[in-house]
Amino acid sequence: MIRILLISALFFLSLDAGELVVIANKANIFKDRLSNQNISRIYLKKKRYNGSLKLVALNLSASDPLRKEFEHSVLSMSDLQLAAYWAKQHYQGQRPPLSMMSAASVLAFVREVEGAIGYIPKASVDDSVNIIYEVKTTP
Amino acid sequence: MRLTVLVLLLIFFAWGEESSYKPGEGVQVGSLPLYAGGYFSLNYKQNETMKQFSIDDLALLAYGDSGKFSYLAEIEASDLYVRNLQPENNHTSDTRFHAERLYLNYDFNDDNALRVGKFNSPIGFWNLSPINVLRDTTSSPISTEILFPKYTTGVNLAHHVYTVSEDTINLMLQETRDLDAIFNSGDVYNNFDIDRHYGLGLIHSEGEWKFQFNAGRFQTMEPKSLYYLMASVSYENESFKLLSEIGSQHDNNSFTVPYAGYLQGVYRLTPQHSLIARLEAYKDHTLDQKEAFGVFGYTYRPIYPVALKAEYQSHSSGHEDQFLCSFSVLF
Repeated sequence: MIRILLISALFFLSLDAGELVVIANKANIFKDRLSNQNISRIYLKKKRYNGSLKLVALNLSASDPLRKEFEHSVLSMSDLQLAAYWAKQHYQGQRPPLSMMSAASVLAFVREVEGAIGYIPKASVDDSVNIIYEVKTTP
Repeated sequence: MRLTVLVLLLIFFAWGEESSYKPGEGVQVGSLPLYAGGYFSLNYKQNETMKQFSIDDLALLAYGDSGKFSYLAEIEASDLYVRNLQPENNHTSDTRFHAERLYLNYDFNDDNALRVGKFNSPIGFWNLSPINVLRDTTSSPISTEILFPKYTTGVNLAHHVYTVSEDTINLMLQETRDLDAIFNSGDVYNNFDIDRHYGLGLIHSEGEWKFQFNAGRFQTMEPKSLYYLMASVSYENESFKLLSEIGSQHDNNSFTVPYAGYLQGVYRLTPQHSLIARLEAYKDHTLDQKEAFGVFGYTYRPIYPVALKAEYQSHSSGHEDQFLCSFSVLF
């Protein structure tokens, strides 16, 4: 029975860790939650401001499975489509979002920088930041 | 100019190892708002009368942003080295670097932006990714070469509207000559020699579809006023891309190019391997040419910013059939 309880607890914990949320700085002027389309535009650098505030989108490192999940679920682009997109943007003088080493780094950056936006596991969120989108994962 | 190239190369390689370099994304120079990158391509061309190998492009890019301002500078050597193997065995080289693009952007806000300098004219889809490594094929469609000015030296005002769809209006204005001194000295190589350009572009994107319409007038140094119209459509999903652009050009009296267009399909066998088929047709009264031809190509990209391409062009006038292949890199 203890083993079953432990396995169930681990299962639910791992599920929670897998749920992603997009967070913004407390002072960020996003008062409402954003749509998938708007999050996607911010991460593709099509939308770069909110009013006069310059937005800073943060990625996890390229090998992080959470980044893959985010790109698949929110951007709806394959690895090839994203590589093609950022190669063309490099030619046009645009940079991809900043990459951070861990969810803890994303949380710390967003907490400190007014226009910052990042995605982290829901389980890692505290009340120092605002949740502006909950990622609906696709299989 | 050669000194500038040397300095840019030194900057690129000096900082290249210390930065977290990813192919096709350039490197940041120290912690400055300055990123350096570039591209090059090696080409081989063979037809009934000639065989030619060339280092077609070598270009260096520098760009960055600070607040609402951003900038981009690009210098490029075209036909850096051309080796003719047939009909004669000789070679030429041109080591001069052109001021390919040089501009400053200012974002008023998310919806409105101003660009000042020399930039790719935002006309059609192909013209915004005109370099070999970003193109689907080694060759570019004729319609992207003969209808409109590929570069504008002046200002561009862009207005974006983001709703369920994405809409953009571009307004291009040129009232001066090109800013590349080599181009202005008579070495006209990749654009019309113009001193006026007024253009309007409308782009509508929704899901996997994108539509664009362009119209404009430009004045060549002869002087001669020419007007162009261009309509473009693209559809793209994970494994397939369809692209079509068609336009015409006329002067004050009649059509100079009654039509020029293409329809292209790209099928991605895997993320690395693609097959391309393109049908092109054009009628050019200025050159007194009318033709239809097919382009059949294959592209291998071990990673996206590195491309190996081969294509065969089958022309309605058979003696113009040709084989092209290239190796191109964006760094």
